[in-house]
Amino acid sequence: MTDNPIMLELSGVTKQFGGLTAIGDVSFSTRKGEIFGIIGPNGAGKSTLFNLITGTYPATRGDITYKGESITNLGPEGVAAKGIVRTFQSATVFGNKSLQENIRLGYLFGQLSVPRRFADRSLLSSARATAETVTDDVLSFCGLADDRERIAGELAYGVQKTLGVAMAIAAGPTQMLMDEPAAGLNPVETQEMGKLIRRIRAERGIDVVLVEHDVGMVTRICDRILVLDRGQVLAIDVPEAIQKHPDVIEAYLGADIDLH
Amino acid sequence: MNTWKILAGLVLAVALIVWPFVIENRFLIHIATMVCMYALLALSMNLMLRIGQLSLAHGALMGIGAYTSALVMMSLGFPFVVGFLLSGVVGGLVSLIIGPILLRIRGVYFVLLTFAFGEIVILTFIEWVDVFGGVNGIFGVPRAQIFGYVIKDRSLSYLMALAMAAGGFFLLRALYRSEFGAIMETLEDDEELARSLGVNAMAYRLAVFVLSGAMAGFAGGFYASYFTFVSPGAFNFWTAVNLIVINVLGGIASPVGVILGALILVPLPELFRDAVQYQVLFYGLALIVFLKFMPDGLYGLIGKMRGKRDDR
Repeated sequence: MTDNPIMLELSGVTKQFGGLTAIGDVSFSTRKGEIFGIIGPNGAGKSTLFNLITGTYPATRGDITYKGESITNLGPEGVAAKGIVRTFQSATVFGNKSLQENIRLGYLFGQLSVPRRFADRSLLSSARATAETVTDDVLSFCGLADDRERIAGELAYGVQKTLGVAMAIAAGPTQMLMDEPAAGLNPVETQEMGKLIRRIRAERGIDVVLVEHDVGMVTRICDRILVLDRGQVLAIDVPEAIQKHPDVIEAYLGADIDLH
Repeated sequence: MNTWKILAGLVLAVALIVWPFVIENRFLIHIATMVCMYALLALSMNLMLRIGQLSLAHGALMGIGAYTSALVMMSLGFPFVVGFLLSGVVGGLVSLIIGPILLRIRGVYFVLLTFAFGEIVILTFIEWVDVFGGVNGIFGVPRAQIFGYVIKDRSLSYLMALAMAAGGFFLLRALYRSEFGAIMETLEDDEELARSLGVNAMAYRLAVFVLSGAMAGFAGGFYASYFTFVSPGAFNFWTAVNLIVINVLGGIASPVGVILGALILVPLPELFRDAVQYQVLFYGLALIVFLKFMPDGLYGLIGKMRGKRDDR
């Protein structure tokens, strides 16, 4: 995998809120075919880093590229247009719509990025036709086909989180960014989510970067892990090495001591 | 849609078109014309309310349409059709220019900014006397004229207003039922999700604002030729407030509700001329009552009584 082409690359990315440096000079790159995990104690800046990559926050300094093209400060829709789609920590779905409609819109929203495309009748009708195929495909891929008619907001939390991932798959990304995919899930659901993520990579060819609190899950499914501490990169390595890394152990112990 | 629904729709359409020729009551026809014009305006406001950006500029946008049509006909000598078309085009164009600045702001600040914009427009009409005629406005605006035929007859004016309201109604209904409507829904609550899937939320907000401004402009173009005069007072922020009240009372969730609201609220001041001084008081009370007890408006109430979900 180390020979695979570089996909996502951050160079010297810094984010300051007023005088506070939330992310300081972070650099790393991911490779094709990789599931890349970002962990760190509470307050390490995981969410901020995630929001920088997704384009939600503009970076104060530094550059973020995807396949060699800069995606710095493109905004969420600009980042999505490059084939990078994110999922949310809390189940974020269109609660008043059916499950299949959610997935259909997951595909169509990307196709209808600007009103001009909606006004193009031939584009619209072909996108609608493709949406049907994509919806069926994604429903069965995520094991949601039985619930397709149900209203998303009435589904169990775990199913809603899976639906969120399904919508992101429907958007047809080449890179998925997942914000705490296991948050709020019970151990069984966490296992299922982990399997789904590995299948997304294996069967869909989508690279995954995930930010996660559940260190166990990250070490199980990720190829490499970045440990963030106080806004800076503490270590980047394979899971086995990360688990033994003295700085990492200390950072987590430090956090524990602070907590208790 | 079943056969009965289509039949009922046809009967309603024929009734709406034929009645003024049967009941030749000028006063009733005038009120019906106003209902249609305000319905179009309220539908244009509905677009904004749907994306959670309450606009107090819609009176001014209507005024821009009215003055555009009047001036294009009177100062530039173009026929009505050109003036009328330009009233909508300029209404949309002004929205296209101010939209990118205003739409970035949300909530109460957007309301205040649109209020300020409306006041600027009205002040321009008042102070730039050479062009806009000052407080007195412009008299003698030519009547609507289609294929050389001057629409003097009130029933024909009504039909024109009816066509405009119906056009607005069916356009919005089609939009709301499409993916465009689904994207609009996200702009109020789920914008982050929509953007993460690739939707350019700002572009959609702008498209909604431009469409809304064009509809208000067309209503203004109609107004100018119907009353044959335009003056700044008709386009101040109370117009926008009335449109909001119509929406809240009728129900924001559906274009049907908006039509209901216009149908009930527009005739009121005309029917109770003596009570006009209490109109604002009545509107205020109605707003409080509806927002408190019937946030989905009359349409929502009807939906509840029929015991079914709101399917738009």
